[in-house]
Amino acid sequence: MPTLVPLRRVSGETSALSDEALLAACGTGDSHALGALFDRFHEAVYRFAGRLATTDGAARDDLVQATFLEIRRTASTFRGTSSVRTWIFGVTANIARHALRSERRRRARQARFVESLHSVPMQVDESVEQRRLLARVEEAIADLPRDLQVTFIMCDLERLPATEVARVLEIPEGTLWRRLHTARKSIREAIERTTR
Amino acid sequence: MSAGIERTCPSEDDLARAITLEDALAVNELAANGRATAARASDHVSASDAALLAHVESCPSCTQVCDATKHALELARRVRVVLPDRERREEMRTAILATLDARDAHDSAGDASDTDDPASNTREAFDAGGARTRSTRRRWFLAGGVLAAAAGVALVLATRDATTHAHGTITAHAGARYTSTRAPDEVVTLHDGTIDVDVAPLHAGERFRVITADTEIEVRGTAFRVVAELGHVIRVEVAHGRVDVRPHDGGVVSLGAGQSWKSAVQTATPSARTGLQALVPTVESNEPTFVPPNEPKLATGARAKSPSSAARDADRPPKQDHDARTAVDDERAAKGDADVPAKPDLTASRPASAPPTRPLDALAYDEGWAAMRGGDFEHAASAFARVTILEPDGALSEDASYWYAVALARAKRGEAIAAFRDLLSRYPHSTHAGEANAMLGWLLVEAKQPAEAERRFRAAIDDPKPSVRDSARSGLAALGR
Repeated sequence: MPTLVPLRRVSGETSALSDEALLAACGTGDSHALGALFDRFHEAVYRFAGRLATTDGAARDDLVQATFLEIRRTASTFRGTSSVRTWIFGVTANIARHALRSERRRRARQARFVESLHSVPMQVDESVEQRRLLARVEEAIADLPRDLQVTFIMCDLERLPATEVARVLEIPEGTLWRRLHTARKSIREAIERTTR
Repeated sequence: MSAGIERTCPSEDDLARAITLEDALAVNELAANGRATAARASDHVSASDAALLAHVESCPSCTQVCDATKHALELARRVRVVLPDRERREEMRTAILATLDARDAHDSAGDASDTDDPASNTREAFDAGGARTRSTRRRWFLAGGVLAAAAGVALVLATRDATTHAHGTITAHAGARYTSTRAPDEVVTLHDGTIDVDVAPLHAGERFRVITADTEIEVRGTAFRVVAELGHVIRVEVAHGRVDVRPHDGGVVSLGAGQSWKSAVQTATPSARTGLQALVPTVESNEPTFVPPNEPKLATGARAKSPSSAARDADRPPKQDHDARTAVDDERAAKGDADVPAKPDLTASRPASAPPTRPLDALAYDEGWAAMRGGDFEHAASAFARVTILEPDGALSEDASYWYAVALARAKRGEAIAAFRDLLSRYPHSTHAGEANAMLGWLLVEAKQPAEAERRFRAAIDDPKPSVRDSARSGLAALGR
């Protein structure tokens, strides 16, 4: 006779815990704590992943899923030198560095086959121009080298403290500012080319 | 506190830091009282930072860079990222927790799962998060034991017993351990042992998968056997229907009736896991791995051959034994060809077969992509069309339908309009739907069919891709809408 063991989802008890406490609980293998962390940071991680892999929803989903699996595995290494939020973004950035390199090449190869089929409009009005500008900015961000892109997204878009970002990315602060300067310059130049 | 003003322009690093400081101060000021104040030299800004900020404010060239950067940041922050809906979020949450549950169950059996190589672990983490395949469908792998309010989970310690599930029957051999969830997305996690699965044809929105710690097997109305040991798939044998085997290290092997897949490693030890990863080639989602027709690529866990022996084997006709049936064999058998080997009997104990050759639809798909790269769009269209004919319900059919339409459009063939219409009719929720609608819209503009063109552009206007949204809005503008 088979033995049936029903499993139920438990929620609610973790809401009063701090991010650090949840992460520490994760490190002991507590799946409920990981679920609570997912509830708190899922949107932020998804937004970050979305900026790193803009055109492929599956790649974004994979990156988010891999982030939380990795959080569970490495939670015990968190030392409190940054916020949990910044630390989680660092996990995502590390995974993305290894995983999305080839995805971008694949995207670029396939995209060129359809780009020319989006014809040039006959008339352009201001609102269309503004949307075109936003599209160029998004492309400029996507075209940044990965290290610059991650630094730019974490510091300028997610507005994480620069010192924390430098710590989780394991780079000197001077390197972080240099990357930010270069990334911002690329995006400024993309805007200038569009508005010329 | 008044600050001194730096006379010389700061370095690029310091200017970057100044811009970040200004940005943060602006945010704090707005948060504090809703309007900007002149709080440049507040107590929490150091004297050197205050001097830096004062210079930036007074220096025309630094001000220009600063203002241009702020404008760029403002635009960048307006770029929208579409977040998943609640259902998708719950699926993701469930998948993560269930995966960890399966891993824990596997690890408790004594296997070590982590290497000391952080890069390897990171890749494994990404791969475990959702190894991607050619299919454009969603690519989770859900471990059994799904923790969701809507789904019950049962851990079944089975003797040889047939259990009826929503989509079919699972017959577990003695000692098999598995967990399962309920329909519509039924997932069976096989921890150990052998199960025979017979799945009825699924309806739209339904899925049936068997997963282990390292592989996902998805079925569409089929009967097959899965053998696993300590969470690792050892063998998959298909009696009828079609099964996609997706090792988490990457790649997809599509098995038809009479075909089987065998891991090169028959016991699941830590070194075996590495062996599995090394032997299964990485195939990225939607990235065709082009294989010239006379150079078959090993897509299974078989031992890798040297290039020269692989080339020699490529020129020989495929072996005709019980376990090496192909889609062509099935067609011949259906026509009564007596020379085709019989389908294997899964109720008997049989050794696993040699790895199957690649399916014909996969070869046609690769041929299509090779032609696209070479600019031969007519040939590409023909090859992609063949994919949809060979396997109309196969994993590649949707993608091939899309690229068929694109190839026709690139070849400037009038049939492209009908091809896009057909694609959108058969796969209205395809990930290519937005692009297809936008491209069809422009084709219809050229064909002087503005009413349908407008409808297609409007269908693409909320696509996640900004280039698609931009194109759709441009199309509506061109129509004067």
